[in-house]
Amino acid sequence: MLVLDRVRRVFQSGPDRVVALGGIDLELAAGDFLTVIGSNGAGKTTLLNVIAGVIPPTEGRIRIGGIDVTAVSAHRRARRCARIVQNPLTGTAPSMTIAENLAIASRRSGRRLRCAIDRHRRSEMAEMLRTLGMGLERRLDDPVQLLSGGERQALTVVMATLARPDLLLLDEHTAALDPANVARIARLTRAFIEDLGITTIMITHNMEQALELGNRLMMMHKGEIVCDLAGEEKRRASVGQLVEWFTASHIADDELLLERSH
Amino acid sequence: MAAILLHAAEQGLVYGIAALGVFITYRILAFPDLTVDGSFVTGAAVASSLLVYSRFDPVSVMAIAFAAGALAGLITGVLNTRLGIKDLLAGVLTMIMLYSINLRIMGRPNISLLRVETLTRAVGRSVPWLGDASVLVFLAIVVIAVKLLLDLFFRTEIGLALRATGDNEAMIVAHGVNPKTMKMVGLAVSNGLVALSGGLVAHYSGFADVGMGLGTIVTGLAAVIIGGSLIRSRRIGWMTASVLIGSLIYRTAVMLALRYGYIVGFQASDLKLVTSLLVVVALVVPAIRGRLMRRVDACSS
Amino acid sequence: MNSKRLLIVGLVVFGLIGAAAIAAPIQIGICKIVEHPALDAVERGVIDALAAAGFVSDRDVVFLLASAQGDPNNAVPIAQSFRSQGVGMVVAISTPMALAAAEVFRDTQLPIVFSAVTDPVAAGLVESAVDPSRNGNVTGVSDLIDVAGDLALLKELSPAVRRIGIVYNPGEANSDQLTRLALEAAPGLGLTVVTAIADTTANVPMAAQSLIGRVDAFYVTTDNTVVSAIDAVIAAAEASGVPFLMADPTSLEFGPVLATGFDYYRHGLITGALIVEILSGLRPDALPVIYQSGAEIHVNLDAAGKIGLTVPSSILGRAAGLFVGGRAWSPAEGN
Repeated sequence: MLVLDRVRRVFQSGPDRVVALGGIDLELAAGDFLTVIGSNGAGKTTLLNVIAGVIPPTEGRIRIGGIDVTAVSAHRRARRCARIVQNPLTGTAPSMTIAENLAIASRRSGRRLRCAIDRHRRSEMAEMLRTLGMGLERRLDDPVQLLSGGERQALTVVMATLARPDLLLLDEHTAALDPANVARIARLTRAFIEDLGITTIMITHNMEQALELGNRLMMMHKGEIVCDLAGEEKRRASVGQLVEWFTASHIADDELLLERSH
Repeated sequence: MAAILLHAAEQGLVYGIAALGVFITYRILAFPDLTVDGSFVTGAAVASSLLVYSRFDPVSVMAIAFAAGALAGLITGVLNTRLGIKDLLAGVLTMIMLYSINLRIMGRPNISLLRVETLTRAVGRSVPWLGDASVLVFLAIVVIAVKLLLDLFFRTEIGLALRATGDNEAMIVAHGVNPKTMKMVGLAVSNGLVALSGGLVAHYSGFADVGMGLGTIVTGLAAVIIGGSLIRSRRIGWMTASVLIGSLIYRTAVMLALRYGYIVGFQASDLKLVTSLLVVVALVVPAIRGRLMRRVDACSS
Repeated sequence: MNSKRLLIVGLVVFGLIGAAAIAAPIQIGICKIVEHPALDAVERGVIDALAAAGFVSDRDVVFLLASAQGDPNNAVPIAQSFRSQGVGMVVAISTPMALAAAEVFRDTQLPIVFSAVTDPVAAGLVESAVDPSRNGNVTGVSDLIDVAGDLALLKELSPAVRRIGIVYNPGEANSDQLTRLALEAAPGLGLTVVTAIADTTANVPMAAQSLIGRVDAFYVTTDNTVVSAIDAVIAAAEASGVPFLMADPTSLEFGPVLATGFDYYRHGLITGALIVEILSGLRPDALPVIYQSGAEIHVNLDAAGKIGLTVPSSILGRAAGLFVGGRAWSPAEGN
């Protein structure tokens, strides 16, 4: 589903040069769920940005679903590739209603002069929101800016998966939420991914979560992949082992170690 | 007094269409578009010269005026999205270009429509039983029709995408919409409406003048801001209504100032001051209201 | 006794009614498109003319003054405001203002008197320059300049003149029309016209300078934009060492070698005279458009000396005024 071929991304040049990604090779099969961990500045967000087309790679090629998308702009890549980021405000249009936001998200391409929300669509939306159990189905005509951060992120998750993307990119999307919402959003995301079998890449700071979810795990450091666990290997790994691995690779990071204790 | 209010209402409606155009770029797309000072005259120029120099009927010239305005908007769109020129500057450049183009369309700095059948005159002739109110009724029907069509447009898939582009561009990109295309669409529709307004104003006034576009952005913004401070709803139907109400209020204030201002020593030269003061009041009122509300809440808790 | 008393009572009543009828002053709305020395002078001329004709302000006439502040969008509201105030006549100074007034009062018989309109026929204000019966309720005074005469005058001043440079703003109706007339008249006089466009006052210097070395004389008509920056044109003419003719006699002392045209205060007086005729009962459709004539020639010998030009005696003989040795002389005063 996703192939990264020797992808490099360098910012600036000369003495300020930062190699955010150094020659990444990655292959994901359809249905794979990859979790990514690493210290700050490891290049995790840059990786997602390059895959989504927000930043072009300095070198290398990217293929989604067999098609070379390296030169394709972000909005066109978004037809097959959805993203959710940490900031719960980024994924929704604040002055527009829940219904309008959902209507936008129900398509990833081919928009026309059709009426976007009819009665049928509205009842579908209400049904969908009911499954969240947050009471949002009663607030279809509320402007999104009235919602809490957790509610907006939940809505973003629904919107990201609504039009059945081929690829889902999650960048620490629960990190800015309070504990109650973290659990809820995590559950919601997992349900969608499993139900729809979407190929997913998820960045997280939580090592337990990284191990628990998905069938692959990748650790990044300074723009390189330093370890890549799959299948059985991943199932058998424990948090303790990961920590040992970290320190052994000279990449002790307080934040990562602290996360472990949650 | 009744005549003054009648005329104020007529002007509030006919300039209100231009205000709707400014609303689309300024409020919805968050794109300050100065093209309108030029495209307003383009509409007037097209709607007058076609009527005087060729055989087009008054209704067709309005449609062509709209198209000409849309084209002007697309020029600004190309300058901004394809050539990377910043929004304000792109609009100014097109506006300057249009000055020469408008002069060419008209062939002279002003055109008189005294001796041709303008749209307003044709209407007055067709429904004589309405008398003096015929123009007002006609304009009301046209403006409400334009408003409703616009509301409908903003409820379509493309319309929603356009609104989201101004609201949260990152979000719309993440859902497969090209913000550049949306800007082009918005600029085209907006300037088309402004040009239509220019054409109607020319027919209403009985003449077109190459200098009649100066200040269109300001009076348009005045209407948008005054209306927006009175009606706070974010529902699209209410927002477009607020723009028209703002235009009516503004034009009424101008007419009253012109007519009765001498009582307080006001002169026509103070008109621009009145406009700015109106906008200041409109901006300050909601702020004061907000502060009062907070005080009430604090007392009651 | 009864019939005498009846007569006296009748006369008194008649006199009172008559006095009441006359006592209600007529409101005259005077409007101009912008505040500007020439247009302001017209306004003053109109008011003074009416006063001189015996119409006392506030007793016989009330003047409502308005200016559109340079914004054509204000023209119609001003006219509508006049209408609601029940004016008995509109005096519209300049073309856009006259067009708006004509439109607003179209369905009435109210007299519209225009002033300072260069070409009322081309502007569409009236149908005929000579037959007023076709002009409805509109009449007025035109300040059309005898452009061909001015060009001929330049040629008379200096036979070496072949190319005439005109700086103008095509956005002003009067200016546009006059330049057109110049372009039409030039070939017949064996001259060519070179134009330079200045659409704002700031662009006037550049436009004037662009003509240096390309023309044998400069010519500026009644163009508000260019007149506001006339120094730049004077400088350009001096730099080229060529004569400059300006169609505004009040600017003579600033530097043009020749100035023709009429003074706008007089234009206002003529307009006022026309108004008096209407107030005395004549209808506008019996009054043809007046094209002000009798353009005077004024010569600035100091400026001529600066470029080493000798002014032919044929012109000096016709001059209505001279500027020499730093001051103005008028033959009429016998200096």
